[in-house]
Amino acid sequence: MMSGGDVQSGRTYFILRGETVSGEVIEVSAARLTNALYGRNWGMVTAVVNNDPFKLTSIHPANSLLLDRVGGLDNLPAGARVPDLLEAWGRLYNERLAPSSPYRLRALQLDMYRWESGTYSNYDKFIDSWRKEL
Amino acid sequence: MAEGTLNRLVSASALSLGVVRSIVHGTFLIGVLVTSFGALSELPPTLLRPVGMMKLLPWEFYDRLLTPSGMAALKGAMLLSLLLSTLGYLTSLTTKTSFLLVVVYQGLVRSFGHFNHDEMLGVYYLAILAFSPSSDGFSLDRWSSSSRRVRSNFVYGYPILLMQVLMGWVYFSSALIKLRVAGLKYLSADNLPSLAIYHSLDNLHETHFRIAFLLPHVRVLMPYVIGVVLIWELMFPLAVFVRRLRWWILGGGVVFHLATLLLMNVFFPYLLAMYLVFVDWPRVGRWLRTRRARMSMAVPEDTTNGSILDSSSHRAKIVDDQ
Repeated sequence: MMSGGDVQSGRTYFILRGETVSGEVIEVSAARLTNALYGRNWGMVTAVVNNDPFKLTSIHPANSLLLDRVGGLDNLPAGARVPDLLEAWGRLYNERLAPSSPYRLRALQLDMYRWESGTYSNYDKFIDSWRKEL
Repeated sequence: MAEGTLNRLVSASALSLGVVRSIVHGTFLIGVLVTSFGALSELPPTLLRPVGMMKLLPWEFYDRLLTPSGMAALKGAMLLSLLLSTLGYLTSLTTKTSFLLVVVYQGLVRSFGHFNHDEMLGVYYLAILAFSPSSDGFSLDRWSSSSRRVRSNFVYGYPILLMQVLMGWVYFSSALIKLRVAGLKYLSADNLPSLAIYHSLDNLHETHFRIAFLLPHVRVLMPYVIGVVLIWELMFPLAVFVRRLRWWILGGGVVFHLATLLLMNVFFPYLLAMYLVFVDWPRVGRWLRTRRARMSMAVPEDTTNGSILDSSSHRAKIVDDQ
């Protein structure tokens, strides 16, 4: 925020959506699920999509194992840990509903969009998506 | 001379510092109360990117902390410590444990997300209060103690002044760094609209206001709006040193943070709560006592003989009592 905004540079953002057991697609508020990270959920998602936890000098042993398995950071798919995050959020969402509720989620997905540069329009160019069946 | 200057700037008394301790610790207490630590424990530690001193802690620490029992223990310890430090019980100890626990917790949430300066000033205030005589007024320690330690008002006023100066620096340096990083480009007509729209596009923010999309229609006004905000930030230290400007500058802060909430879905509740260090609490106490006395004058029933006293005699009684 210190450098301010610039309409000439494109920007990437994310929408969290869930698919209910009745087949309806709804938007899910991450801030309601992990309110400890109020004001930080969006930053966390960006970092997880960028695989930032794999770029530390001291990597979590489980992340280190995954890196070894795929053959290094270059071979790691974008958002390697996004499914784990979606699974945790999906579990939190469903735990708050009755087992018979039609609003329970059967899948949670994170959609990545880009606001292309230059104009105050074309805000939602679809880029990528991650989905986790719950 | 220093004490005289200090007294002109802040309300230097044990009561003031005690109330400030209660407000700062109470703010964090409420924050912990309404936060689901259990939900945080559901997140896998493999998402963490420890920051600062949190890098020194081994991964086993995070693996154990980010469990339901680990987070329940952290929340329990924080609630107990913050409750006691808010009430001012075993204050010398509990203000320090509250500070340490909040630092660990803030380090943890910052290791998940980006650096957010909302709570940072409050954390600095906790550090100041941990090493100040904040139990000499407005505390259970004070009420339960038979001895009354007499200290110079300077020791109570200095921490409050330091907190106010820190807040002034937060806003002043914010303006400086914007100018240093972006220069005059910061005043561009697209700065605020593009930043505000970016923060309104996703659904990961706490709120989902969409007012930002109106800003491009008034983009020619934006350089003036940003200019006013920069001037306000640069002038913020005057709130410490010029009492006449204080409430205008703090009022501007309330408007500014409400505007960032509505336009950018970014809100700083902790920082706003810290504005209360500027309140003259002994004066508020006197005002409340006077108001209570006036209200009791409004129904001046003499229970001894059932007659209604006239207000002048009742007022005289209150003055005598005082």
